[in-house]
Amino acid sequence: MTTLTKSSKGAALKAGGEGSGLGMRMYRFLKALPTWVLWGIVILWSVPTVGIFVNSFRTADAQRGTGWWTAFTGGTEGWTINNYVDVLGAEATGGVWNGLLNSFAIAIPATVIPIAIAAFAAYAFAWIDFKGREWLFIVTVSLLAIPLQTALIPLLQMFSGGAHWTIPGLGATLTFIPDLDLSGTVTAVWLTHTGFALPFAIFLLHNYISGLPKDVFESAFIDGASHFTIFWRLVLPLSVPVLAAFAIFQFLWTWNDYLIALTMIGGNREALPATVVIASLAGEFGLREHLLSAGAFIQSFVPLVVFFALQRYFVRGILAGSVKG
Amino acid sequence: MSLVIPTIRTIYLSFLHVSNRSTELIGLENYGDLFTDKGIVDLTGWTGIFGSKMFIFGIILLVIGLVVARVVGQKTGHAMSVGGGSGPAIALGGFLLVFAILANLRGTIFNNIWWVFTVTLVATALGLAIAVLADRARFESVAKSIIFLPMAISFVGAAIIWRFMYIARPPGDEQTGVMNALWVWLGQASRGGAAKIVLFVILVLLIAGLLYMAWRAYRANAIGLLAGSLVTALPLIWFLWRLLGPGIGGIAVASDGTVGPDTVLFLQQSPFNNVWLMVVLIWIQTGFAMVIFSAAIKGVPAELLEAATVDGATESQTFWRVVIPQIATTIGVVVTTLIVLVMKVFDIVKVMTNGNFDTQVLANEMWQKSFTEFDFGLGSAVAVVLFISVLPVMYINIRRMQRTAA
Amino acid sequence: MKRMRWIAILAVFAMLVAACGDDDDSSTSGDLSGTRVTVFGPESSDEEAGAMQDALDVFAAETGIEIVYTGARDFSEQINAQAAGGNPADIAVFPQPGKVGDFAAEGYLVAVPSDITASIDAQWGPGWMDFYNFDGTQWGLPNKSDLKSIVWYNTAVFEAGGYDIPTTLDGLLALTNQMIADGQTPWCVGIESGPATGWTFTDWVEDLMLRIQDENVYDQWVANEVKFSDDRVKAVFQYVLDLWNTEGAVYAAGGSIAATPFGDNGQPLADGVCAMHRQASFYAAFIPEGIGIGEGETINTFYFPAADDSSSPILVAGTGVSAFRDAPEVWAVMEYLGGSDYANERQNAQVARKGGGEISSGYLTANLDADAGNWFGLEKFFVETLLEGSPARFDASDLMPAAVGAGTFWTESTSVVNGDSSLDDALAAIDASWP
Repeated sequence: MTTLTKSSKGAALKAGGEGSGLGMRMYRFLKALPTWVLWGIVILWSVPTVGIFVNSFRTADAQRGTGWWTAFTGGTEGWTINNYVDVLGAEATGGVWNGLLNSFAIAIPATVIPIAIAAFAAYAFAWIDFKGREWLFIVTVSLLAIPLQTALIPLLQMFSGGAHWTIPGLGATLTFIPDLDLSGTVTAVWLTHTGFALPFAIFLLHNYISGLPKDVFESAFIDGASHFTIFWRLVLPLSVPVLAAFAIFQFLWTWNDYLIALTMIGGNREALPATVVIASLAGEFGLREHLLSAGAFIQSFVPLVVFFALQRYFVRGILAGSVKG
Repeated sequence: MSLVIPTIRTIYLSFLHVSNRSTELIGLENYGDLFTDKGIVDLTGWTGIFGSKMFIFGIILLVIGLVVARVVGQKTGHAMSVGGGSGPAIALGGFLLVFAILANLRGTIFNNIWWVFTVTLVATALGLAIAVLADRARFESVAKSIIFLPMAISFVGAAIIWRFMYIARPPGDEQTGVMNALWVWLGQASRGGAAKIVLFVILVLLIAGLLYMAWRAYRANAIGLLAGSLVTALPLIWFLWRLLGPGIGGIAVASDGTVGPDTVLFLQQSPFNNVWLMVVLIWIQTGFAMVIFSAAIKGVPAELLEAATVDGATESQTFWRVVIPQIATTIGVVVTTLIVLVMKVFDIVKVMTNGNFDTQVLANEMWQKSFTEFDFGLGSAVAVVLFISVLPVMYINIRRMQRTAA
Repeated sequence: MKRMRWIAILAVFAMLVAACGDDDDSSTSGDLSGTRVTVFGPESSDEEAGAMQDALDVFAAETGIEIVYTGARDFSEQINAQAAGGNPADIAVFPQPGKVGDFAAEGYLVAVPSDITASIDAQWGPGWMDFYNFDGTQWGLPNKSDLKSIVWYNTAVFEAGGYDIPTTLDGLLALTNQMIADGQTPWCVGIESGPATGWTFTDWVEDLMLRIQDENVYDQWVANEVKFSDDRVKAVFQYVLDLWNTEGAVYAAGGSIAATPFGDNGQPLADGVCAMHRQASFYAAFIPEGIGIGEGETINTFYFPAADDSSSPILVAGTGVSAFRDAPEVWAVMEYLGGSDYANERQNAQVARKGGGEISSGYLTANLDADAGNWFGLEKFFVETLLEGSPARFDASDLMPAAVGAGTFWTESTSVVNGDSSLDDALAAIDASWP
């Protein structure tokens, strides 16, 4: 960081050329421009969120009747914390607290399991030679392109009734997957998430792991290390930033998922996650829709904590340091 | 894999006519229905391409970029050179050109392509820029957290958020949506008063600064900078002209000559309502690109950066020649992921317009066919089209990855 | 050749059929305690879903059946997924009779046993049971009723302008023109409703179909015997469009009719910006807080007038319950959901959840045996209208196949209202989409 800014100053001096006062100042302004642009984007990006945050503390009629920015000039009128009270106190679809618990029960396994499988699979695709490796990798990754919506019903059928095929004419039934009776459970949801996450996880991790320096592995092999040791001792520690990045996304996606959860769980309200519970608060025809803004913030609180907790793993030098050492 | 069976089943279903109680094999009929539907492919608006400002501005940029590339190239003995600012000019010009073309070709398939093109490029570029800029800025984590925040908000929340951004009220009433409030305010401001003077001063200062830069660049023989500042000045001058003349922003001139406020129906006015929907996805996905790029940039060995600095490379040289090649595969990953993700875009369209007003996309079409209309055959055909159209991207990407790995 | 074999094997996989073993549930009823019944429906807000559960809890306490109600906003799509996925709830609450017909045809539903049909039949006015009767078989029971033929109006505007409540359709049109002449915007209209955008337009068309045409044309139109492009249907569409496009006739809070969420019209109506808003009985929930509703209050309602005195057609909607599982406890709950005890319990629970007192609950029933004393003010009038209005017809878009009723009928209408396509093109497109 410091080296970069130092060098840029040097470049500025050089490029400033004749170095007249105005020219220098202009050049400095232009040099600083990217930073201004950055903060401009940051402000732009936060406007929608700030707006909804303000609105989440306003009454339904105030939200509907006036812009959120007018809330600051109108005194205390229109302000309320009832939206949060109502959301947190709701009980109709199993309650928000129960929903949040279910969200954890879905998001945690749906994050940890794909990471564990995908990290090893990515290592295998990158550094273990086996027959048909390339083919298998292409098939795996092209599964990324499957639209989620097409797979929902077949998966649901599998979860509720297993997979069977009655051979025409013979009347015999083959069972590929037994009746597990998983539909309506949290398990069905995170299993689905795991399935959908694997292609992307393998794709992302493979890109990173295959880019690790070759000599690290070669020297380890010469020392007689097994694949498992290399994976455990070398690959995992070196991949921390990308694992953290994937963990953040996967947690977010599963935490905020609505469609899969609702389809797989359906009428079993004890197992519904917070997204479905909160969306349900609004009711038919957008009735009580003003609760959704407060709901959105309650919902996004946990992912933000996860983001802040994992962000510190994006640090420079993990890779460089270990290569040197 | 749990996904293989559903895929095969979908392909199989797409050849069927599934209706009440009966299932019949009809071959490619579903696909035929799909491609002859005017809602899916509609080329009638193609002449509109040539009239659009964006198209014209794109061509101007492209020509300028190419000329500069030629001039700079001549100096260095190449046919063309991307130095001297011609690269960004060509890129931006090309982007505007394709954008303008896609804005005029309607129907679900072109709309989907338009989505993929715009969202992927903008989100990737913005995500990369923010990752790089934040990397050396103070309060890095604050900036990154705010860009990331939209990802943490569920789609239900995002839909509500953007409804409050885009909502319109009748022109004479108080606006409750941010965008229309700003638009109407701008219209009023440009009609007179202190705000008009402030706007005028800012614009004049910006234009003067750019012209001064152009002059300096001319003196220093930096053709790229010269062209760049002139091109940037062009739209500003146009703004200034509009400001002095009829005014900018939400203004409507009634038939009797009186001037009143005007609003934009962001989600109803085709084709640019699509762009306003894309903005929502860009708002969300830039955080994704940024996080991945951030991790990759942190992974660029510090020794390489130090070496570049020692060799006297400027910051932008370090970026283009050291950082970019180091994270090239990551860019590939992000672009591929975004293409696939945008190709499958569903929630935003479903919740905000449900495909009304010319905003239909493939995934929502598929959802409506299969789940609302219960026609799994046709729905599956849409899914297969979706799947197949993503395959080439995957293939190219994987081949490229294999090559770099080998 | 080898590849061919692979394809064949894959094709075999493709035809995987999920076969669920059918359990024999024909055990005779008696003690049902300890059994469990799940109910899935579209009402999901705390007040509605909560009141539904409260009413079910009363029955659960009597019988010992554990009854769980789950509400979801995307009910219509979710029930499709769950039925196709082999995992529906025991009982579903359908807002669209057309869907009950589709599901019956698909073989997902269990027909209602005749003894239950007989016991419920006597409790409902003519037509209500028929909504769920297909080919002579009863597939569901009515559960909740909504009245759509209502105009909400601002009493202050009517007093100030000296306007009278119109009693005929022509009178309504004359009143509209009178208001325009007086500089008062007569109507508030908005058809935006997220994924369901357009349904308020179709409600106008349906209500007018019963008035400009008659219930016979209406029935034929629903059955696709009269096409959308038929002159009689087109005339009704044109009537609505002409009315809305009359200069000064409509205030749309969202800048244009197609951009206005129908719920956003409550404020301008209360402010007198517009005088009238045609919307269903549940609209009370969209009137801003603190605005009085009912006789002598800021906002009151009148019956959307008939063509003349000879009839008083009403457009209705509502929900019906159907069973996916054949078991005595399911039928016990079904019978309860169709009956008057449920209606009374539900109404009392919903009133209590909305704060108690003589207030609008948002829940109505056309059940003849329900205690009319449980409804107050405006809703008393709604219930009376529901019971007396004749002929009563269910919302056509809920009866037509989903591709039309929840698809093109909405979307094509929206694009006509928005000026994106011509009426003829739109009507032809709707006809073409009929499956």
